[in-house]
Amino acid sequence: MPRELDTNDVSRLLRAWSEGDQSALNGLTPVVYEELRRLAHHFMERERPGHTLQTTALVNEAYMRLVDYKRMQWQDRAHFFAVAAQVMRRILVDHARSHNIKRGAGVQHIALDDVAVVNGDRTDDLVALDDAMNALARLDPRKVQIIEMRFFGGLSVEETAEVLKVSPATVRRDWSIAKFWLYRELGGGTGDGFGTVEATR
Amino acid sequence: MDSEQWKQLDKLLHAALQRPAKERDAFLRDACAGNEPLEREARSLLTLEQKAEGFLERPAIEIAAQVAVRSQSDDSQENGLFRTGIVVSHYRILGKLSGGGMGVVYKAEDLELRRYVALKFLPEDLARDPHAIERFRREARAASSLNHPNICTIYEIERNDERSFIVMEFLDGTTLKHRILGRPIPIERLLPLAIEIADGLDVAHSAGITHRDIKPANLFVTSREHVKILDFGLAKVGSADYPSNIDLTALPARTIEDQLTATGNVLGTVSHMSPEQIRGERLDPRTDLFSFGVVLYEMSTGKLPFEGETQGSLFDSILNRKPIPPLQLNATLPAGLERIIDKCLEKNRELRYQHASEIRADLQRLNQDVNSARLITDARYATGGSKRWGTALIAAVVIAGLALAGYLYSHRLPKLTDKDTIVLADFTNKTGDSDFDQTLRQGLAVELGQSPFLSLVPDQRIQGTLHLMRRPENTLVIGDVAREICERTFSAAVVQGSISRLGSQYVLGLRVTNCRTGDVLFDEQVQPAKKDEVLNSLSQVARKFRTRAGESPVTIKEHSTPLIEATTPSLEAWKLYCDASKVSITENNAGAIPLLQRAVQIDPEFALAYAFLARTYADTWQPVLAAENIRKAYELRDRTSDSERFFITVNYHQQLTGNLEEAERTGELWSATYPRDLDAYTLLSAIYQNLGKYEKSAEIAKRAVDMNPSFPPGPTNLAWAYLFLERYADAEKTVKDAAGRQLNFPDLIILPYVIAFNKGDRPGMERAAARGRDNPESADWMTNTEAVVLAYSGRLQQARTMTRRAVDMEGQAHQPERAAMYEAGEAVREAFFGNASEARQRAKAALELSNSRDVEYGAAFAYVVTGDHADSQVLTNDLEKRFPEDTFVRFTYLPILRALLTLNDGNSGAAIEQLQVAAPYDLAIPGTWFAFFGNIYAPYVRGQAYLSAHRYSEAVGEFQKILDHPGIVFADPVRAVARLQLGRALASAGDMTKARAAYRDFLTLWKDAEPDIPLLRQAKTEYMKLN
Repeated sequence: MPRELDTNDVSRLLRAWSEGDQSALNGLTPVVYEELRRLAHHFMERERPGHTLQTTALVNEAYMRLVDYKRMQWQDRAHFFAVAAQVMRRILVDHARSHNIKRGAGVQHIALDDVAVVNGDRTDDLVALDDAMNALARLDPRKVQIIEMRFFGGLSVEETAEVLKVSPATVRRDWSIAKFWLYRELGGGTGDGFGTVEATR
Repeated sequence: MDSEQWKQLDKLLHAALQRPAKERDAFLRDACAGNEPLEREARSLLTLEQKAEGFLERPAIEIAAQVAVRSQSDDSQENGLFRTGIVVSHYRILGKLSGGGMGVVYKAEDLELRRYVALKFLPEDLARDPHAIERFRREARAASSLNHPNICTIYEIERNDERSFIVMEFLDGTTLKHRILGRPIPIERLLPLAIEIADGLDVAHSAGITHRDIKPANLFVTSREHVKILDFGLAKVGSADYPSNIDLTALPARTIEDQLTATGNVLGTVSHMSPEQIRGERLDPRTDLFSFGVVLYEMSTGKLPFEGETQGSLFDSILNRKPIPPLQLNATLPAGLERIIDKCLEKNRELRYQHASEIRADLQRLNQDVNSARLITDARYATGGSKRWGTALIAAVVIAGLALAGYLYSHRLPKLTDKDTIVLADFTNKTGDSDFDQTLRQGLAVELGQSPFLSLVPDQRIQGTLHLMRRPENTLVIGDVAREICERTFSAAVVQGSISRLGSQYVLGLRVTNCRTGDVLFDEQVQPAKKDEVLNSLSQVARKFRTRAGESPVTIKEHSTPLIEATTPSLEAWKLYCDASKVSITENNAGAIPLLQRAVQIDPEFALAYAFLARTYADTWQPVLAAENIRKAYELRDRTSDSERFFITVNYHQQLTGNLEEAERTGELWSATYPRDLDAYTLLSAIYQNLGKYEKSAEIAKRAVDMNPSFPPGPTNLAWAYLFLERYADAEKTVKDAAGRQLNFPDLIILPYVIAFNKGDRPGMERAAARGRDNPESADWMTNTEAVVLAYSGRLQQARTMTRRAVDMEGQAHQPERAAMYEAGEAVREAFFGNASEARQRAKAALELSNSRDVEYGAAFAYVVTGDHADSQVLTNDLEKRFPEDTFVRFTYLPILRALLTLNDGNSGAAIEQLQVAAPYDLAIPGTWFAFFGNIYAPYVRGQAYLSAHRYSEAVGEFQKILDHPGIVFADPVRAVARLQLGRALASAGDMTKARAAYRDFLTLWKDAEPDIPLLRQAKTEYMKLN
């Protein structure tokens, strides 16, 4: 069990990471993993993971422990949110990557490999999502930031709007558009249309 | 989609989302106004509104936790044997890499060979099936016979506790699948990768092995941008239970349905299967060519050619339908690529390409076209362009050039980066002909050294590393030794050459290996028909490697002179040159000279040898010989490579014309063109010192030391620069570090003495002097330096004895130029101290030994100071005539000599004027510095001129300048005389207190001086009058 880090440590590590110190991620990873472990334990006990009220509370609690935004004393709150969400993305994607590998090649893995037999549900594939986000970032970095803050950072639409200094309605629309695009990228769409814009060049 | 198109789409979607769902249809139609692709794209995304509703709505951490739960339960069912840290046979498991359909792959460390490997185990279900195991082993054996840089190497097949596993090359990189991810690969990168895939397939097919599961997930792209085909032959193992005594390659696979029902796994990825594979027919290598076509299609368009909602419709698509032409999906593709893909995807294998080598040839041709088209397009647009090319170019290629050149070119991932260094191993020479021993390696060094992109670990650094490894100097740098040096120097790769005989021919091979992963990055052989052709073949193969290493065709074109042109057609002369370079590193500079002299006798047009000879003479302070040789090198410079030409040109200006501004400019251009060239930095740092730019010199010398601390000129120049800046501690540390590396350079022996002197550290001086006298390389220099120090405190007799000794040593060593410098230095100091006849005698002796620039200047200075105008004038005129461009002569020597002559005629105003041009060089180190005289002389003469012009305070300032720079002036006699002159100037100015102090200062310095020195007698008389 990793040593408990207090909020100040987390804050310091986040700042270090945002300033380019890659090793700070090593300090943050155990903190996130501990929360993951807690959540996983909760799911295990219930046998089947589901989206219950209790889960929501638990997840919120996890975020609170990880990055107690309210108590953070960062000069630039917006910057801090962005960094925290980025770190979450990095750690969770890395974690998923290692687990995807560990999951092995069972039938499931092959099925995911093969576009022909994909059934469209790759919503739990964080690695593929990460790749798709990288692709989207080339076109529209702000949308990726919104995905980062909402999905990885656990921020609400309103909080995200506050950080980005835009209206909640804009965030909501950006969020939708980004989701459509990513969803299609992950194999959930028809696959038609994407390339056609390119072809007219 | 480019970002402009995206912005347009994004704006549209925002607007649409602000409207109620039922109004959107009409809105889109209006807003797009016939822009059909835009409308289609917007609609395609908006239709996902419902489907994507729940997408990403649960926080990531929750999903991650669920995945963890799932995988924990998966893990718990797994065999616990292969956890991290477990040792299987002699492999320590380091972690799981992947689990392909055909087995689980672990990263492991080979404990015996100390390298990373990948271990592949059969999956559990098949591991219990003896037939499957047998097939697994057979296939692995077959695949292990494939040895090719584009096929993942199988090292061995092992068995552990009844579990067989394959030990394979560990690869660093990612699969092509991750590379593609729905987006086309830029053509510039695509073609080299495709060529390598074709190459790997060709080799396997020639060996009778069909892959049968070619797909992006089985094509690995290493971090060096090379392809490795994975899992050769393994696809078949799990496909069915064939009797093991039948030739597997000739057997049909079972139908896909069979496979599905048999194991529940899809073997041979459906979307990449060939029609004959789906039909369950007998397979031959041509099935791989179809699958390769599918891969090429994906690489070109980011999309699969055959798709279907269901398995059935997918099969139908592969069997019966033509895919959308790739050009429709990616208009930037060259049309030639579409033709290649089409021919791969022929449903009827008889109509398809029949061999991978045919595809490779077509791809290579296309690659050439694309490259040259890009160069042409670039050139055309850069120059405003002729129309001549317009019609000649295929339209698509022009588009590729235009649209992609900028972006792709800068984003092209090189296989090596310009930050990587590479280790050049010794050649393995199996010919028995010792002529090839050093020659080929050095030849390759010249070839690769031409590249501004590649950077070789310098030989001195290799020697230094061998020393650290506690291996003798002459250890052959091959195999593990080379690998270790590569790792220790943080280099990227080892370049290993080999030569052997094949009947009357030779086989010359070059193999480049990533020293960390063992990846073979390059492997080529050429067969020169006879000995004379070997060097030429070496050039060819080196150029090939440069291309493959990722260097741009532009720089290769610009910077490649064939070896025999860059060096010499004579293997014998080349061998002598190579031996000389080895001697100069492992022994000393002097030892290289006779070898180089022989080399230029054999080939009088061997420019590089002349240049090397010149540099060696310059480093050993024999400027006339240096100048002679650099002149020849310069005349022949067109016969050298680009970087050698820089070397020659800088040395030419430094040693022959003396135009240091030109040398500086060329040096700076050189270091900008070849930012990794150590010679550029070391020469430049010396030039900066001669221009008085010590900070700059230190900075660039530091860079040279960082690049290679074992190359003596680096630390030498750095230590001198620190000394001149009076940073004695830094200078000492630099010398000490160099000593720790066993660097044998005379400067590094003299420096501690000079530093100790300036620090007033007598014992330190003693120690350094003893060491210096013991070393034959530095004995004469040290002896004369001691003479300079003795004279500085007025012990002139002892100084004379010492200088005589130094001169005699040179006489024995037949180095008259050095002896002449010592004589000239003595002449100058005798003149300063008032011994006119002694000074003239020494000046004459100096001139008899040499008429070098610095000797003539020293003699002329001694003559004029002692009142011998005629002789001084002759020498001054000679200097002016012989060195019209020379920086020292024009801006230091001539102004000083002329001002002294004018001053003796009583015209102080003109003297001051004449010295004006010298001002920027007041603190620079001139060429006479080796004998420790001549430093800061212009201010001295200017001070004298001010003194006689009655401008006393200005005179004080000039003399003070000398005393304020002990780092530069060291024990130059001027430093002693300046104290007295300062006293005189102060006394004339009426500042008696300070004047007395200055006189006392001088008299204290000379307290042990011989009493009859005229200067001392004068000083004492003047001092008495002051009181």
